[in-house]
Amino acid sequence: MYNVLEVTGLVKNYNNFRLEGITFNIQRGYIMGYIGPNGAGKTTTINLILGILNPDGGQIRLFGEDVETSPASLKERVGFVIGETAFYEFLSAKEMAGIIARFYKRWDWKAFDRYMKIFELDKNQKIESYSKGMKIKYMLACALSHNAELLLLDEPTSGLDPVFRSELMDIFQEIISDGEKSILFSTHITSDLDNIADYVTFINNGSIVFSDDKDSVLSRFSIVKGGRDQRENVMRTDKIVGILNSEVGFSALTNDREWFLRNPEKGVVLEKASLEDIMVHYVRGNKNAGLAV
Amino acid sequence: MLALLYKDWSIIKKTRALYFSLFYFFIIIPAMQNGSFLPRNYSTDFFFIFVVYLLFSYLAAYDYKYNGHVFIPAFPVTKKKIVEARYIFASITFLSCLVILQIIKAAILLIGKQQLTLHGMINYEQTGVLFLIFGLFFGVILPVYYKLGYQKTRWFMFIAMIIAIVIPSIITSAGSSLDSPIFLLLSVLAVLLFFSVSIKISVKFVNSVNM
Repeated sequence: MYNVLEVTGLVKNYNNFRLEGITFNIQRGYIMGYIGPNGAGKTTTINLILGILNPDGGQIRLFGEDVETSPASLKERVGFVIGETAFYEFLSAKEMAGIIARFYKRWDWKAFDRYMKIFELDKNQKIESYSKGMKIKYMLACALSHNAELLLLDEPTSGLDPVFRSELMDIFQEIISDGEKSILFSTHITSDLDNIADYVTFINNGSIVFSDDKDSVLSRFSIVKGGRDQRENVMRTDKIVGILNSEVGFSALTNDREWFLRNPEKGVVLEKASLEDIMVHYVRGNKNAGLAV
Repeated sequence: MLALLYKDWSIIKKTRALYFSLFYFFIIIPAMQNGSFLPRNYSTDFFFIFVVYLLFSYLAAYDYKYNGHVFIPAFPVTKKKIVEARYIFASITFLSCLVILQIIKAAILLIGKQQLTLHGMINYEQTGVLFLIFGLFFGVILPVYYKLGYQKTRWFMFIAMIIAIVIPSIITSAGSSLDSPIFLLLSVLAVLLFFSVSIKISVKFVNSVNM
């Protein structure tokens, strides 16, 4: 098992926001979904890994080496899709690629042309004339054209229509199919990860809630639903991490599905939790009920 | 480093700053040399430094507009190199402008059938003053730019440019003639010293500021 990225105890104080104790790993050949609501700290984490921001504490290791020791050579092996703009958009795709190519020793023009063709992008067109989806594809083509082994994607599907998002998911899956590349995919649209993520790291309010393989997460968490009469009993179990109340009852998130299976209660049903359920119940349900995990 | 310089050049050659530079060198300067257009010295200094400032200003503005200051550090390059490249690009721009200025002067001398001598071409005092203005301006403005960012610095940059032009010009016009190679050499050394301190301060700011 080889970790391409190891983040340990990362700390950053940034614009009245504190990122604290961020710890997770990504293994070679896998996709890690990095989920959390807007403002949770996903972009800050990625910016710290890329060296755009300097951490106040903790350690980042890329391909087994501390990034502090040789940041430039380690970043040769990392591709990224970040930000609101796709580089200097007033340039043509080819001109911008000409700039990027000079930063990477392993830049491969044949690969660039191939990806531009696959993504159906005209390299002579100005980047600013591309649609948002095309810009994402363009940045991805650039990231893949220098043989990046780790791709850091910050909200690449935000603002894209479902068809385009589905197409991108297929592309991501194809990218990791050789077993050599890995992806850290930050998103608040958790449904994007349902089919492609192998691991999931959930960040909320600057802290990691969990980081585990997706199947374990989905089997551990469950939604507990019931009427208003059952609410107090369920809350007393101490197995609830978030609860949403409605006129007719409640919907709660438990991280101990097994306990509820062993101790069934009349009028209370157990449902499978999606990543979205987990995120929504944890973030909103926690605020509503004042619970702590 | 070369990648960063190529990036700056790729931006500059697409901007209107380059047209303004061409207009300055091929219209304004020759016109001033004939004595039929603007008066010399202050105007020459002002326009010369303004061209260098304009090129830098466009770079800073485009970096700000397209988040270059955010995504460039994500490439395989250190922040120290990014800062150094900006100083080097400003210096290359300045030296290129200086070379073009000398070529134009030589062309004017040749057209006027005057003798082409080193002293006829290079005005040590004026060139030394230009070096001092350039060093003073960029040595101060770049650390401020890296500390406060483009938005907060742009008006300050323009005011600083005018101050940087006026002060050395007043000093030299008040004193005795400085038209000697020693003055030029001392000016170049002063710029190098000033820049070496300025770069260290800029790197410190870049590492501490959250972009």
